[in-house]
Amino acid sequence: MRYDKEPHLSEEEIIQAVVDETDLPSPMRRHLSVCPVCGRNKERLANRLAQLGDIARAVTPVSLKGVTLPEKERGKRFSFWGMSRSRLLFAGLSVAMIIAVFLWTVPLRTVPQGDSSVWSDDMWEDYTFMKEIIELKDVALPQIYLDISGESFPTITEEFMDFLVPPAETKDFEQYESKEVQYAV
Amino acid sequence: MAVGVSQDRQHWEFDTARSESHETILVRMAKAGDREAFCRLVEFYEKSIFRLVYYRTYSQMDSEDLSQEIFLKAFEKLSNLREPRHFRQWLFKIALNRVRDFKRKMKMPLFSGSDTGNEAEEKIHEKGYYNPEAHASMNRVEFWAQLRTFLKKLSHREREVFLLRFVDELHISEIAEVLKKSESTVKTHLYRAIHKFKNEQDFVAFLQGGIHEV
Repeated sequence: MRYDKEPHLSEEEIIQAVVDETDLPSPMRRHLSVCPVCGRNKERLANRLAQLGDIARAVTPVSLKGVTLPEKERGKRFSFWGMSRSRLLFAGLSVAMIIAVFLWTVPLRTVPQGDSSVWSDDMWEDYTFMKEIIELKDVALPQIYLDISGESFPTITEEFMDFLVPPAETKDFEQYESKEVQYAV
Repeated sequence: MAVGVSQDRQHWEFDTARSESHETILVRMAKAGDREAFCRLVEFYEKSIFRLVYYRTYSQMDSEDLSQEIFLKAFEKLSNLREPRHFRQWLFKIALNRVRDFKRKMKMPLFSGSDTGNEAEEKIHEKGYYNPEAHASMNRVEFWAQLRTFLKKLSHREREVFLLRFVDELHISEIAEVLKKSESTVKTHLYRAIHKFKNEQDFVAFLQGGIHEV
């Protein structure tokens, strides 16, 4: 292959080669690997950049203070899921408090608090209904209706009514009695 | 307890700790509560983290304090690291977040005005956070000045990607993980940053000349 017949890499392509040679198209990579001019250009730029890093490192002052680690050994520190002792204590107390509140409210929550008005209403209805039954009279009509129907006259008793209109059974019995007397006689 | 080299660790070859598998073992041991293993990790990354902070604050004192805080945070949060293989990226991420918080706090009183990020940063340096006199040679001063001038011309993301790649020496995949960006996004920012770097003729010429150490 005649690399000297191919165009040399441009400035941008040289920079691209310094950044990452594998990003170049394969013909350019191939040219770069064989062309001394392009290779030198790339090397020069890469060397300048490397030199910059070398000088920077060389002229940086030396740290006079060493790094100090805390006295307490990391392995011996008490920790649970990265929580310190005080945080763990606080978390434990919080959980205990939540459990206590939960347990305390369990008996209250077993009574259907939400339906209290319903069951008290039912109880009241039962009570008044039973009271009405207890107070119920044989003739429960109000006085005015009793007067109209004649039920309120004290002289007209049941005995009197039986006298006026004897019941059918009584009549038959009396007739039967009178007949028996007749046969006996 | 200062993290120093104990007698046991003197026999330790830190070069071997560079291998990912060894580092992973150390991270696993540290996660299990092995303080010594974490100390080895600190020793291994102490310089890198200090430098990372220094390139972004230009203050030795702040870099020392922030490095301390970064490792303390890593020590405390190590149990949260799910994948020990990604310790390096995880540590750098903590460091970058801490530096960002620090810079935000430093800029806070300046928010009342119309300062841009760069102007605010300039004021921070004027307040004495950047102390070029601390450096031994003029070449060093010149280097930091040139680097700062160049970095100011980059956007925030370009600057971060450029520093992570060429100064902190992270791979593109690692940068993507640290910044939570896709690799193609990282490459795009890097491409733009290098393009700007290439056009900084004075800075490039300065680097070409090298730095003569005192």
